[in-house]
Amino acid sequence: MIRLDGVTLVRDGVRLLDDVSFSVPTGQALALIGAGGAGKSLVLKLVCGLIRADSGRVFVDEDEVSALDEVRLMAVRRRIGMVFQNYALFDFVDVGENVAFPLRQWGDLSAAEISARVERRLSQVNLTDATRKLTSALSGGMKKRVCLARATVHDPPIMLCDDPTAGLDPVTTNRIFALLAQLRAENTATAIIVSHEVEALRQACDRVVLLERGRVAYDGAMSDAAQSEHTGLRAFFEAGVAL
Amino acid sequence: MSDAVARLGAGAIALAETVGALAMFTTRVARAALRPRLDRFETWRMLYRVGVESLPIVATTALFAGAIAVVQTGANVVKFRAYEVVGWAFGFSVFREIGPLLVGLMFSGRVGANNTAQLSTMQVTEQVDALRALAIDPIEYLVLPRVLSMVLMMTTLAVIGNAFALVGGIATSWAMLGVDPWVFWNSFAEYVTLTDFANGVIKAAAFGLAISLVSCHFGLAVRGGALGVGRAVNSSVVASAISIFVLDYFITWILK
Repeated sequence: MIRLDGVTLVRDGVRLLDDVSFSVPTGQALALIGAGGAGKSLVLKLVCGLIRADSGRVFVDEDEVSALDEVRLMAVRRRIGMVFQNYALFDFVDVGENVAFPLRQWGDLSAAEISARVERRLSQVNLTDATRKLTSALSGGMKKRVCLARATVHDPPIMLCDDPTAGLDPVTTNRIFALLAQLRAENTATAIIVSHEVEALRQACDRVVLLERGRVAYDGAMSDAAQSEHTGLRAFFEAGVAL
Repeated sequence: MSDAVARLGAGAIALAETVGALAMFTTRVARAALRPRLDRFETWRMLYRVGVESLPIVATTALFAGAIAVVQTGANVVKFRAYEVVGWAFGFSVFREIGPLLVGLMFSGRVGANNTAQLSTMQVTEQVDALRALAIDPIEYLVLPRVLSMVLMMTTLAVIGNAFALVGGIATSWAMLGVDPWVFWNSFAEYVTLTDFANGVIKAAAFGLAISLVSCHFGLAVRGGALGVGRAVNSSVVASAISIFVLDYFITWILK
């Protein structure tokens, strides 16, 4: 379960998030949509505890992320897999080591188990041949897939995906959403997916939250969203379908 | 006039902010060092990058530092025909002062600047956030190995640098002043004490610590994109140089 209660974030006098509240029940996937600069990425970073809200509370299961110090946040973050909008891959190690990175650092598994997991995940994202390549040698789509593999190699029960298909062609986009669905199904993961791919989100998500200038403008079931009279949501969906 | 006062005030506030942030960062590093979980691979990688790759530049600097020390004292040595003290004069000035200072400044320019550039690039490309999101403490993973490597390697390089400086000093005094290498060596071995040597080593370790903390702080505190990285590197080099001179003053005063 993920829950935000009245979260407000102010930077340099600008209200980037204004009294944002919503929740994602365990096992559900939420589509977080909105125009650029609406605050979608900030919400994901708040849930992961990477930034702190000025007011309001953020919960991941029973843990109040907004009240935990950096040391206690580590335990929460081990349950989260985060896909970054701009990949954020480690440029000092190769693809295989990027994916193995969290497992090696945590030291809970043997080297053989880590290798097996990395191999399995890389084959799922169809990157077995790229294991020894440096990330600088990869295309955008490949980087996204490495990022997805790294974020999910530990089978996290919570997934935060920040525009996992930004700038990708439709075929790769479909492949990434199929992969997300498969990984979610394997772990019955709770997920927040930020994306502009309306059709793919319709297939993948149970609920939708529309952010407009840092405020929640719509929060409802995905099945109701298409019929909603909400102007912003209609515009978003119609533009998405037209695309 | 009021503009000048305002600028002075703003400068003082900025300086206080930087010093305060650096002190807080040092406290975080010290706290992490109490329960060190060093990544072996990262630590070895840093030791190699910081130490082995810096060796040629440090050796060259030290060689010429030794030579310069002899060149500077040469005129007086000849004037007073004090050939038997040239080794002592060289050892006292180079081992205690010139050696660690020059090696420290070179180390700051090469290793410190590089370190700030790398960490700030990782920060602006969200690699540091990715570490945190993967439940890995950037202080433990990135900073501790760097601090350890820089302190160890700066100290080691200073010792190696002393040897190169000695070679430079002996060669120059022989070629320029006609001092027999044995005369130089005897004067050096007789008058230069272990305290002189330890003085330089202590300074080198302190400079290594200062360079590592300053360069890591400015790297991780970067804001903005490529412009921010450039600014961070610049600030890091300037702050490292200042901290080297301030530390040098205090250590010299304490160990006098």
